[in-house]
Amino acid sequence: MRTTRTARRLLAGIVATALVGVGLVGCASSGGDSSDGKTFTIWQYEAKDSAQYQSWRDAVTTFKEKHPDVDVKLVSTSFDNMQKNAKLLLTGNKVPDVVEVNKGNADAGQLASQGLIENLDPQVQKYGWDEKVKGAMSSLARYDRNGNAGSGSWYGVPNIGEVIVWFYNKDAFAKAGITEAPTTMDELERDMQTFKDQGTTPVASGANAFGALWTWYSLVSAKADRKLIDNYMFLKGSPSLDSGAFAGGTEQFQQWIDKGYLGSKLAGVTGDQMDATWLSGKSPLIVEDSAAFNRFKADAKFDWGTFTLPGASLNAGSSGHLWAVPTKSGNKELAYDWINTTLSSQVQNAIGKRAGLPLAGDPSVISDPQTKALTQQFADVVDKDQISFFPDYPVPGLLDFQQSGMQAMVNKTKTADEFTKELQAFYSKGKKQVDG
Amino acid sequence: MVTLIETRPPAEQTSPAPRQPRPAHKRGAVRWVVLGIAILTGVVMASPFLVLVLTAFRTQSDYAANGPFSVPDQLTLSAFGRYLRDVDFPLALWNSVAISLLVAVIGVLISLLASYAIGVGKIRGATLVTGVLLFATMLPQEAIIYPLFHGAQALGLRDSIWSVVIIFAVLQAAFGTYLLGSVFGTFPPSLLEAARLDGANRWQVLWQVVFPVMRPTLSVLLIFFFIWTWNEFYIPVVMLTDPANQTVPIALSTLRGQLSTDITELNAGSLLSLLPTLLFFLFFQRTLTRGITAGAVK
Amino acid sequence: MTSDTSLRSRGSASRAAADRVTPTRGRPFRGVSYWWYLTPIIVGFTAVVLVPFAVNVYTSFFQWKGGLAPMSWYGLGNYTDLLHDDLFWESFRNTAFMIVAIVVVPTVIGLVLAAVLFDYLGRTFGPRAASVLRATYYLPQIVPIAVAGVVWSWILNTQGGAINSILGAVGIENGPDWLGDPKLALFSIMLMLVWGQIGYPVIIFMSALQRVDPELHEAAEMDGANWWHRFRAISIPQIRPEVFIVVLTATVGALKVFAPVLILTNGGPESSTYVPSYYSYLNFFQLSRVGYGSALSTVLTVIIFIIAAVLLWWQRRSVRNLED
Repeated sequence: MRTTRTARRLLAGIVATALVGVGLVGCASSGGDSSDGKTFTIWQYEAKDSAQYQSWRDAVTTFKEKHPDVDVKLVSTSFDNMQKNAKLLLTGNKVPDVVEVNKGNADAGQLASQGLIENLDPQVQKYGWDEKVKGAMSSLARYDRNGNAGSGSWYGVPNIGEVIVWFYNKDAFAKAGITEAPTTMDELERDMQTFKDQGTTPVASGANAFGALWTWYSLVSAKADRKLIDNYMFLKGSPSLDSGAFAGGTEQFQQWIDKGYLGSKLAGVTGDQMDATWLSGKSPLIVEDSAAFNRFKADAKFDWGTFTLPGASLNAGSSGHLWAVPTKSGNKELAYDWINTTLSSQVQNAIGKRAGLPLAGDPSVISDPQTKALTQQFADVVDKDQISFFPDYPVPGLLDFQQSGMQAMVNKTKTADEFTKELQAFYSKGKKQVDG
Repeated sequence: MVTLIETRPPAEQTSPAPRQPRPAHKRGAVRWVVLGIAILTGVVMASPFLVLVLTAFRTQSDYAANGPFSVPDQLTLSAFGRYLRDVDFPLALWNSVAISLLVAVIGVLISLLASYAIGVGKIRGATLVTGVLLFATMLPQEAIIYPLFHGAQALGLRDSIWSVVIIFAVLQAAFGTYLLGSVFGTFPPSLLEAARLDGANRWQVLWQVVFPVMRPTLSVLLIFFFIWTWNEFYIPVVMLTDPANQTVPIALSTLRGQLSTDITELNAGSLLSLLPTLLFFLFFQRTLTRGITAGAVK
Repeated sequence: MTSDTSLRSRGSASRAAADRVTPTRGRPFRGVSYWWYLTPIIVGFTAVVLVPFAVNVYTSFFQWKGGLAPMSWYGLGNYTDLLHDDLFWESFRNTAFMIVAIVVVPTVIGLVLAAVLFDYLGRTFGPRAASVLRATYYLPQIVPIAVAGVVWSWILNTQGGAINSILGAVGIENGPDWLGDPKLALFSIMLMLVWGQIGYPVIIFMSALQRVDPELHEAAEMDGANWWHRFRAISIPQIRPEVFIVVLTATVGALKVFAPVLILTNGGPESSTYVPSYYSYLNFFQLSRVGYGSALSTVLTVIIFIIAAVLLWWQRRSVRNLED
């Protein structure tokens, strides 16, 4: 009995303190205002151990030195939050001064067409950003009046790129008698067959996230040409999705599944689980985003390397997420300066050394061999204009549709033919809704 | 069928409260078997939690190589270290505690007032009011997030914790009013009679007669409200964009990258984030034994 | 006063309780109108629930991408689209499973556990044991759903997950694809939901059982009733109000469930685990079809309301039947 009385007194005390404290906090936080030039707020959502975050964090230090009278705040949120809530949050009265937004029609495109982020064309001219972010790397930075990527004004500025690569376990390869990474598609398939014959699943994969999706799209890209992909991505012309490269790539994907190259029961396997399979040595190959590089570097207990899909016409990959300036930002000049800072060689090279695949970095300053190799592979793809972006960008809902299709194909409830036909129908319908 | 007697007049009460009946016959084997099953159930229920704890103390490479169910190579606090480095946990903790407590207290208060009017005051259309209030619990949150955002903005409350406190106090109070209203059915009428004889007015009756009797139920509500509000993520993340106002679930969410997550760090952070609610529950669970219906104890 | 005791002496104190003997039987209490006591909740409710819901309904008549995009009038178009949408019907079909997983199974298990803990173990091993066990049963309710989802995805993992590892240890190689097989995924989610929900009824029922007069049990025991008989004849009827509360709130929760689906399967595999709330959320935030999402959530809310109203009416009816 006594205990509960004390408990209640304690509770009353806590509540009283809370009310007082909260009152103070409430007053304090409503006092902060981003438009008085004294506080500069940057929102980002890259992981704390990522190349970008660490380089940006260092950049903030130099930025502060350049602007000693400004309180620079680097705020972290999550990708999820920005993807879902950016449209809502940027209509508010208190918005960040510069913000990282998701590339793509559904995100940056929408924000642009709704006037929530600024047209950056004047700044691009002034600072020469289009000399650092060129070609396909600028496609997802520009959006037209309807919010479709590929053409129009600049609304965002990427810092990095990403590319889908194959990570391979050199130790496992050696044990299987394979001395070099495959340089042709035939060699790759032969290597995978070698592992399969030994009873190992060659490729760690998963269909409850992106693994299978990237593999499928890599095979499509391998056969596709620039025009097809551009039409597909930017809703131009009438790309055929149930014939040509799409059909051929999907067929090959199905064959790989039938031959057991990707394993079985993949529909529920997530990205983390897929990574675990590769890292534990169970499967010697994995198709992953270059962003996985640092994680693998830290956790892999064997010798490993990377290669892009051999003999591929195009390769999946893209520019990274974008710095954008909210229309209601209170410190636009500082925002432009910040973006420019992130594109400076100092910051870009810092990102490069951390294997972040910067768009304007100098590969020669990188000393680590694995990082250098990856950066070179990325640079090759970009320079030869072989980037094919990601398959879910064109219309809303494509991601869920395609992931569901991947699951159906690995579960063998759908054939390649059925999937491509449905994809064509879904894409055409979605395109009409976007245009209409 | 046994006759139902829902309340006993205080005078006839023979057993002290809380009531634990006299021990049944101790038929050795059976009770141990039942205990065993109950413990096994408990272990099964708690096992995901145990995995959570285990993973929080692993090293990243251990998790990457061996998965979550293996015996760890070593136990380490590094995941906790990374979490505390990446997230301003003390601030988030303070915000969460403040918000959850405020919501719990204000929500219980509102519920008490409203259910008093419904249960004791017997206002007309009591069921209708209860039903309409219950409507609040039925709304999926995404349906109201846009209007709430703009409304809070219009009032200048957005990005203040009061926006979140008010919203959840109302939402929880809707449930609370329903619960307390149902519970008033077992309120001993003699107490109200005595109060009327003393010439008490409505306010006095509420605080001097009803409140003490209902205190156990109110405590249960307090615990529920605290825990439910603590874990809320969706509305807070939209309302509280200033990092100074971040709550613990929001802080946790910043650990999730687009493509991958530092799993051991996530587990360590989750463990830290649920410790306060766990402690709160354990601390106050004794009040749960008092019961959620009135009149049994006096 | 006389009226009160005569009521009781009629042997139906339950009726008195159900009637909530009102002070207005005599003179009403002095003081401000009871409606003032309702003011906080009514004001709050209007601001936080009614107005936003009205806006939601309003939005459902438009096609809208959210944010500052223009809203284009669509009349009842979203609702007709909804009726033709297979995913919508599928998500409602899955709701039946959600109700089983969140209402039926946990309430039944919760009843049994609460009674065993309270009436049996609490007596034979002491209240401390019962408290400890109760705390472990409530643990799942405290674990944040996001993390619970991650842990359960490990447990349900096809290769190397806990369940399949255990199956492998007893000789069943190639365990089922819990989250990848469209026929199984829904049941896997249900498993996690049951786990997460049990604590709630256990807590409520255990504290409700406190209320039961022990002399009823003793009398029954002396008549030769064993634990099971006493459970069915005494415990359950006595805590009927709490059972209703649990069933009602759990049903509403089941109809609104969405986070476990988001975390475990994202509606997959092959769209087999869609639930209405998840589908609505998808439309709001991933697909930028805010008008359609609003229509979905409006329909969902109305259905929840109807079901809850039926349950409430049933509750009142059975309480009234008790007195007759």
